Amino acid sequence: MRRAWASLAAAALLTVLTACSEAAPVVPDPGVTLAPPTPAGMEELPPEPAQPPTPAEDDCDRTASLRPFDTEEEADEAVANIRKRGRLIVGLDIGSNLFSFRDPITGEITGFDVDIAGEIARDIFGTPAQVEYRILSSADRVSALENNEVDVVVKTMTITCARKELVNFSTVYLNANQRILAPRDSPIRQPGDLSGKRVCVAKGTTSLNRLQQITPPPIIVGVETWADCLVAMQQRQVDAVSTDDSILAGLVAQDPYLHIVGPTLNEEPYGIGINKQNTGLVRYVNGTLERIRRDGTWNTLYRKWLTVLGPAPAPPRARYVEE
Amino acid sequence: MTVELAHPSTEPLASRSPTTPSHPRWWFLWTTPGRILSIGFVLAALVMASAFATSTTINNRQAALTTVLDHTEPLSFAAGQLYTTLSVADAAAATAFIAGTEPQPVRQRYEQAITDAAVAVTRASSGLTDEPMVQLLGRINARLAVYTGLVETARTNNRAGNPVGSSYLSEASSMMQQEILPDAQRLYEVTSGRVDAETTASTRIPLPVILIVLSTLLFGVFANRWLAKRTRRRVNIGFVAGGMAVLIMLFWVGTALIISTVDSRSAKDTAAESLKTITSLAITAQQARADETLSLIRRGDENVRKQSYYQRIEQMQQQLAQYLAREDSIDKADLADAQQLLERWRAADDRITAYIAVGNYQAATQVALGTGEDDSTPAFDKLDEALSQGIEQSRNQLRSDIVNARRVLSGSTVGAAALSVVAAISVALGIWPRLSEYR
Repeated sequence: MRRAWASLAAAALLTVLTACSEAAPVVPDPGVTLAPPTPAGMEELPPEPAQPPTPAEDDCDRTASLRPFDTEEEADEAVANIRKRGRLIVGLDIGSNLFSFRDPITGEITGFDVDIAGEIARDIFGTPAQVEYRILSSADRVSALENNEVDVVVKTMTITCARKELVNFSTVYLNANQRILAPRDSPIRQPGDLSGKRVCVAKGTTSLNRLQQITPPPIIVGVETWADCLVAMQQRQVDAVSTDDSILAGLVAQDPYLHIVGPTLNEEPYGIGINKQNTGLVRYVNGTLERIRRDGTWNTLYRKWLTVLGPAPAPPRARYVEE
Repeated sequence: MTVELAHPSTEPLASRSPTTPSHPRWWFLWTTPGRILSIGFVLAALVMASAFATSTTINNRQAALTTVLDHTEPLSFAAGQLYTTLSVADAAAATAFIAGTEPQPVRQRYEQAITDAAVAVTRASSGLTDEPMVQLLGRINARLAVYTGLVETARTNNRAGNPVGSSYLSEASSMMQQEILPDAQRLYEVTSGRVDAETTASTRIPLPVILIVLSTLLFGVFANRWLAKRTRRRVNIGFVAGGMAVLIMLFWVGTALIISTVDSRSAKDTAAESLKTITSLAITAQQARADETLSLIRRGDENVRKQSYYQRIEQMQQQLAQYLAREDSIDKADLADAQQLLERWRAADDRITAYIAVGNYQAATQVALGTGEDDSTPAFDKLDEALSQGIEQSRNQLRSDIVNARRVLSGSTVGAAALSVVAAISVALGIWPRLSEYR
């Protein structure tokens, strides 16, 4: 009798099972996957063979510039064109916090570089306001000078021998050091830790070259501005940013979850870029830099913008070529 | 040996008589009454067939037009709305950014645009069935959520005084311009293409119906003549009445179809065209506005933005000129001033460029956002308003054309059926007396 029940139950189960298999097969909905949002213009740079460390950058005595004019007349003649035009055309970007950026509250472009440019304008026109800004991406700085689209480039521009063949530089107005920015919870502590990691740099900067010397090389992600690197980092698309501590400090100021780590990878003397032929303007600008070093303006500006880097050091010493 | 007597049969003798007729049954069809009867049947069948063909055709057309009205057109409109509102949102987000503290009306415009876009996504999703389009809409929807998140991140950073806000905004905007809007554009193209296709299907000449109705009439004439020869009655009243019924049906349905076709053509060639042109103008206007405002924020790729702004203004000028030159364009009155508005807008933008050239961003922003007569905002707002009205009018025209095309057809199904029954009965009545003469 029990067996009869069992077989009945089995039959019932079989019926249920067959009934199930007859139901229309469920077609799974194809899923949609999207690439994460990325800063405008971000791209992974193709891997390059690791480059040998460049010999010391001082083959060309890169920080030596032209001596300022001795007389007022010579100086006036050098900037006569700019005076006639009524404004100084300055090339910079607006994505470098602390150096040149758009103040969200006033909408004005401000920063250390902007104030340095303002001091040049003050010497030419007597007021720092007569300035026109041309926004340049880092990669466009040299060509803008070569094509005379701008009078000066004041944009965290490192003096290098390669660049010095194409454009002129003023004396050094700030010394920066290339370091690494990483999240506080990241194990990255020194350059060697960057191997195989995604590292963000702005395209066309000297920071790129130093990173390519690390072996095995990191994956380098290029963006338009340094602020885009902060976006990429906050969106977890890169593991670290490496560039001058002065720029990194501007990023840290906007995100307390990041910190600057590691030793100095590279020394980055900043100079004001000027057209190769326009030596008069080079001397004039060096005159202005000489003045702000002397009268304390340099220290005032440093304290205004760059205290996050520590107490104001002495202004970088001007070095001139022997004539 | 027993002899069995044969019993006399009780069956009637007649039952044994042979029953096979002298002719097979179908021979009847060869007799004159048989022929009359079969002609009558064929005629009645033809009449019914033509009634069936006409009412099916009309039914199909009505159904097609109803689909356009209830599904395809609203879907295409929702897709167009989606595209426009997304552009509005992007322009508003950028505008809010250059204004310092975000002005309330701009904030409201952004919020309303996002609401409208979300509603448009929902509306569009209700009518989509094919998988690629569903995925396309899914992508738009997913990215819209990411977009609003990025805009809020930008806004928060801006409020906290972090310059990284403008990087977030340009990330959001480039996602909108390069990923969301192209998808929305494709959705709009596909759905408005469907409106076109379905409306066009209602403008075709219904050849099978014409053939079957014509053959019914011809066969009717032949039947009448054949009968006249056999019966020496020249006119068969029933056939004539039946023929009249078919003719009336032909006339009625023919007229209805012609009017309906004309309406459908107008819907497709005039209203739908106008709607497409004005929608595209409205979208271009919003994108030009986004270019204008973004070039004030980002200022890194300002030349690219400027070029794209000029291109868009030129494109609008051309489209507008073509639109106004067409004779059958809808709502020319509202758009008559549009060229002038475009010129004023462009002049205001030239002033912005001039201010930027001397480094005066405050003044440039003032021109972009100010409400003065020569500033950008009034020119843009008026243009936008005129275009919105144009969209509304064209859409009304499109829908009313389709409604008309459907309405003229509405009586004719019943009419065709009734008339065909009348025709069939008339044929029967016409044949009956002839047939009864042979009894």
